[in-house]
Amino acid sequence: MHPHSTRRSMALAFISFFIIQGILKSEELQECARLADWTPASVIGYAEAKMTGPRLRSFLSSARLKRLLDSSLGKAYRQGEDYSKLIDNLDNIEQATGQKPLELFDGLLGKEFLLASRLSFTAGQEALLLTRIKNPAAIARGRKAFAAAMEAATGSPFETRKLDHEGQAIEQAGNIWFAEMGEILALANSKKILEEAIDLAYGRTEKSAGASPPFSHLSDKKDYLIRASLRPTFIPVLAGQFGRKLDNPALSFLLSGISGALRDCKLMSASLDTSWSGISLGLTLHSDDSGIAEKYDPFFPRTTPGEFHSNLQKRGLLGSIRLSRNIHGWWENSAAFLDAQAAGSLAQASAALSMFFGGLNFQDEVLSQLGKTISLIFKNPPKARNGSSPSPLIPGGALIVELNDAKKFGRPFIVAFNSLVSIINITRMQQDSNAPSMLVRPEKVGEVDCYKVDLGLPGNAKAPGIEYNFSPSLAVTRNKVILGSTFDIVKLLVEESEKIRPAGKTSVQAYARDRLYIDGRALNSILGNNLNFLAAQQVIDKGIGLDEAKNELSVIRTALSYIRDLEFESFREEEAIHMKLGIGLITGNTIVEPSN
Amino acid sequence: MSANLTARERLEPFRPGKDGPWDYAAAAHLARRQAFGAPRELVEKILELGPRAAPGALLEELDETPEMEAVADSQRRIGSTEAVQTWWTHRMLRGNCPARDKLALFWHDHFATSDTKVKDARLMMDQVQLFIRQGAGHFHALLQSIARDPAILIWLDGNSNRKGKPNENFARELMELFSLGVGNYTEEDIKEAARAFTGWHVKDRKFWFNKRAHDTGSKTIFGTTGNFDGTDVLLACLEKQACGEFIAEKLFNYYVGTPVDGELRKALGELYHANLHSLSPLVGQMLSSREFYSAPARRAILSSPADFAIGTLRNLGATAGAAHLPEEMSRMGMDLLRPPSVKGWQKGKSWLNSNTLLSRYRFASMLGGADENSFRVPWGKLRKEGPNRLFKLFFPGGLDEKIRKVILEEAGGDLKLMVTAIVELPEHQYI
Repeated sequence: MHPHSTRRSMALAFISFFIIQGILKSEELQECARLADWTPASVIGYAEAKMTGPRLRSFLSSARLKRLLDSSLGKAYRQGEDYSKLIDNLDNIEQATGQKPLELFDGLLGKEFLLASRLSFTAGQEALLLTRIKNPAAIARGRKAFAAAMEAATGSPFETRKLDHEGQAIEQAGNIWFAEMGEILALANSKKILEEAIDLAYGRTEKSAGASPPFSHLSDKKDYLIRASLRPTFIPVLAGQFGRKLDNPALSFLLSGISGALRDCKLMSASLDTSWSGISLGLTLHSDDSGIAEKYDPFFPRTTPGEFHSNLQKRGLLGSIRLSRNIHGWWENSAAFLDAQAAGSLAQASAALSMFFGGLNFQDEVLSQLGKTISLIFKNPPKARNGSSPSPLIPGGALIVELNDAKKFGRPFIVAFNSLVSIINITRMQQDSNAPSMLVRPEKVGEVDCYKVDLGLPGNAKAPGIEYNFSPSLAVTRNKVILGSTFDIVKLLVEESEKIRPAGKTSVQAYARDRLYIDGRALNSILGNNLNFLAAQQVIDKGIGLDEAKNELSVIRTALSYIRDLEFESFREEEAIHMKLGIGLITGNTIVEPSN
Repeated sequence: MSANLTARERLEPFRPGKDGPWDYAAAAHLARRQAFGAPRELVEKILELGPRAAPGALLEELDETPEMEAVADSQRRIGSTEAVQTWWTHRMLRGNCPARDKLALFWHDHFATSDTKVKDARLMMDQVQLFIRQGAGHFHALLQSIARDPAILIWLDGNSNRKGKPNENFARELMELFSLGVGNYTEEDIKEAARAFTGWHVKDRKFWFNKRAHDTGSKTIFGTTGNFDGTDVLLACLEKQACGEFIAEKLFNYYVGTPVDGELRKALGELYHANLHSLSPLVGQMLSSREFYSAPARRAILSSPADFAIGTLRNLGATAGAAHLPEEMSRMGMDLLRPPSVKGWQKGKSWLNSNTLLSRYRFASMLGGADENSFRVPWGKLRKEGPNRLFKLFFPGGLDEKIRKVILEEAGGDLKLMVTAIVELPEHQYI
């Protein structure tokens, strides 16, 4: 044989071998470790859930649920319209499909499912559902149920059109296409997206959501019941809303940072998890390669974590709000976050506030001395010793602002406080010459000077009114200014503040966390203390009887008795922003109804 | 009928069948005048009681319901003017004795005291509760109580009234507006009465007789000289014939509304004294008189904003929304707890001007148009009863057939539109 022809034959054989291997390979269904691996990378976002079936079964058969449904709250729910509608819908599903809804759900969706969506120029919104079937029998039951439902709805036998995509069978029923690929059932409202999923399933392409860079930010942790992710920039209506200048300074102070993070966000993911001990909802904004713009730095300052707030919580708070901002930085750059009118109003406010601070320039000489954390604390008042508490009973509240050097810069705040009291006194005297004056009385808490306003109210009032809730007070500690509605709350805050040692120069700083906390039991308690007052308001507003009003409030209190607390946190981690909402539940072995 | 009768005859008891029918329309007429509006249950109760017994029965003091006690306590604790206004409008709307509140409203206008100067809503609430408690009792007791009321003393600068520097405000209003009326006293009487009231002060929100500030010298009042104090002055005013005529005429104008001539005025004074200054029987006799049930007295009084707004809601069976009423009534010209002057509100035709009329129309539109039903009107029940019952509710004496037809056609079966149209009618502006 000629050497040239031998080489050619060998080359042909070599090439043929790989072609055949390729063909053989492309016919094999790939392993589906993650449903996202069979989801096209072009989707805008997707939602996925795992083990919802077993968790739902466990929930429905639990003794705790039974106790909950037998409680007064459960009975009230079962008599309501929502419960009746739910039962009717479940009955309708069973009638239409001939199968129990829970069995259907568990079989078809209960193990794992993913629902993805994208916008297409030609096909509009395309949706793809991938579900890992419990067992082959589940598909058969599902088909039977679907057929029964369609026959009941249309009155004609359910038939599908059989198609093929490169060897994979596809069926079409109306606008739904579906394919069975091993233990995965794929459904879509568009043939194109289904075919792309099939190509991924057979390894013909690797452009999956699971492998794509945007979705790579998603955590591998399985700590969720359901998780969704979205690329917001692909939704035109949303994209234009983020990062806009606001017309409200307070909103800007709260939200401009988040708005900016959304503008620079390439992936948004949310997760939900539930258990008998609580519900947690998380949202993460992953920024693009350029990261979160530097101009938003005032919204994400770094601080030294401390124990002040955790210690306060142990003293029994009703709630707290903690915000960390570089206030001076925000104020100085307000033009970047606010429209012209709102930025102008800040300038006017600065001039007015300078008056209160003894002529100091508010923006440059006062704000620059403020620390990076502002807190609002709420605490239920103690019960009156002689049994006559004010009504309504209003929780005490306090504003805490950190100061860089309170010894040096605390004085202007004391001046401002006294100025404010004087102005109020003068105004009241002008309106009513007999009006009692408010007096500022100095008090000491440890070594800290406090200033308590005496409203001049008669003592030992038989039926103390709303004004008896207030004894406005101010204190300046080592590094905080505390302004409270009552002296009791200011005293508590001063005590806790003085326990904290100042952070050393070598302390590690981290991105600060914004936090909102509400204690469910404290909330329930204050509602209970105000039951008669609130019931009277219901009588006026709804025209119902007093007993009916009290019963309505009792149902609310019963619902609250299951809530231990509510916590919302927002924080930055590198170039991602995390937001977490958690509701702690009390669903112990014994359900105790709240007493009045 | 009234033109042929003497004044005394006009005040004689109404005789059903002879002076006119005792029917649903007559009972509704009494309900509108003595309470607020003519809700069906009240009218049927009046029908059953009869014209003589009904007025007194409606004024009987009843125990407060737990709801009213709770509302009173909660609004007092809030202590703002708006809260106290809400309390009172809620009482008028939902209370078990609206006749007492209607009479209290009369005294609130008669002893006009404004929170704009008192600046203490709880004191105003105390004053209103005084009117509710004592308003149907003896006028002597009422006047004695109100003279020591902290709110009125603040309003009339009581604390400025001191020995050597008497402030005449209280003494003047006592004689001119509270007990005798113009022409029944002299300026000298006022000056001397002011001296008698020196030391009638307020301290710590309570009446306080400040001995140090009291003028113990001899005074001459109504031609009599003596070492008089405030109590003596009050008794002297109460004993004058003019007092009975003055008070009785004011009550007559409020409840009956037909013109009062000299003869009738005298007869009213005699009635007052015959009842030994007791207000419930006096009002009862006025409201059971032939004059009251005569044709000129029917729909003779232009409704005050309270009668208009609260009466309308009670007719419809509304149960809530008292918190909105003070503002609505203020737009119509009646800012509860804040009468415009010591003379109270200008009543009668003054209730209606271009602004206040528009406010009434706005109220009517709000009533019929709101989806949220903040007044909790039982629309379902009213729809079941139908348009004829609705017309009877508002016009038990009948309505011009043409007007009725136009309303039915324009509303096209929409009950809410019908209510708006009815409430806007000129006929509905009169009680």
